[in-house]
Amino acid sequence: MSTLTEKIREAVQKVLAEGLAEVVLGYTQGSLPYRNRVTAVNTPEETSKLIWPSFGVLNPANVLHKLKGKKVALISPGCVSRAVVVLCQEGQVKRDEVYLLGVPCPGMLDPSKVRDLGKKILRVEDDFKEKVLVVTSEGEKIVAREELLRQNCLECRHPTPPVYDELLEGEARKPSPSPYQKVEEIEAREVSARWQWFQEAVVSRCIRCYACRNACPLCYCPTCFVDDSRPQWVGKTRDPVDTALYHLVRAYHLAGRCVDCGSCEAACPMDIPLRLLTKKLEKEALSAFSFESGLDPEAPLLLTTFREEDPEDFMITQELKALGKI
Amino acid sequence: MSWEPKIIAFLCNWCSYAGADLAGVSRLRYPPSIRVVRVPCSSRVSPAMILDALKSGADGVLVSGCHPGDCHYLTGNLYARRRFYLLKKLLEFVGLDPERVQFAWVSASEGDVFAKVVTEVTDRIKALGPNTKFRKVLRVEGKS
Repeated sequence: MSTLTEKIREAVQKVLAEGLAEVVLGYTQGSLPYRNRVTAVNTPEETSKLIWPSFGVLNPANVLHKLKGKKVALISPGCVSRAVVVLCQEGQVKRDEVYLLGVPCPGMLDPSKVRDLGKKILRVEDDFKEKVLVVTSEGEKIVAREELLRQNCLECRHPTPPVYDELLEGEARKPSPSPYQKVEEIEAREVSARWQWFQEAVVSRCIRCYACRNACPLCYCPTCFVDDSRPQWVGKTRDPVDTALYHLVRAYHLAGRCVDCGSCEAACPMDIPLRLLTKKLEKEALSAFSFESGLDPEAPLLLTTFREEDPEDFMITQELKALGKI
Repeated sequence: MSWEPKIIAFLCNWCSYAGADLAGVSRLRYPPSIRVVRVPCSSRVSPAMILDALKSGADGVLVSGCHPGDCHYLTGNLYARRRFYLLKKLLEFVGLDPERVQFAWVSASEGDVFAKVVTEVTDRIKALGPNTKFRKVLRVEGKS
């Protein structure tokens, strides 16, 4: 049986030969054993540099806007496919201009979890099923894959792409039974403890480099609200209130759009748990509006549609009515 | 002198602004805590505007629009309802006092409801005290 990497190379050669796409976005080996990077391939000779990554932490859909007008194929695990679907829904990309080469995703490993296994990591061998062999300067270690997976892969609800043009054979991870466990842990705390968590884990760590925004495949506005100067929503200083406002509005702008690819967290140099904010909104969208993003390119977006029976008991007039005060 | 909160009230032009007007014309008594910003529709209000009001020193924000079905633009308030729901949940999640940001439906004929809503919102924000968490004060680097 051939490996996923071999299947991908074969499929990409076919895609290029048949003219289904001019450019293929996929992953290649990075400069360290636990780094993979996004790459573009446009000739059949180059396909040998493509791999199925253990550490494909950034989302190649982020590059799509730079390739406007070209027909692009993407190596698509669930989150890449869903990001492209959202871009289609928002009119950023035409569905017939992208070719989704779906891959049933076994989950990606977290570079920081592997990095901490030894002083120097020399080699990582991943069987994409159960075990990872990590060769460090101190010796070899065999670690269960589950322990090294990225948090968003552990919480992933759609490892197999919901939308694709061609699906490679392979075994995907099972959808997570408890995707919102981390969010619920925070929710269970008191108001003041939650504020303290937000300040300590998010606001005080942030250096406002905006890497989370730049890595996000769905943050494509030519002028981001943080760069607006009139009105200036976010001040230019390191004031904690400005930082808090940035994180709240960034997460909010991804409400009903975020596909939980985890690029933001992977790009963050300060290890901020950015996904918790977007995951919370994802949880609310699912529970209150039974909505999940990136499943159908024809479906309306969460905030461009409504239902008459949408919840409104959070409104003060409904609260007062229930109390008989008005 | 007792502390009176400052509340920014985003009122939709077609219902709640007229409702506030009716409360005034009817000589109804309510606390002088609100600063009204007239907006074309409740869906004109973006979360950045609400947070910006708090950041700039407001102790609370009230957004009020037409009842569902009464929107001048037919469905604006129904889109707004979804957005506000998510915003409220997000603010609750990060522990920003959820009572500081309030949403209401007030029609043009509900002057009394408007007065009661403002009274209630003011009472709740008074109980919380001034907004110190999310107010931007000029600081010198290195000093608190």
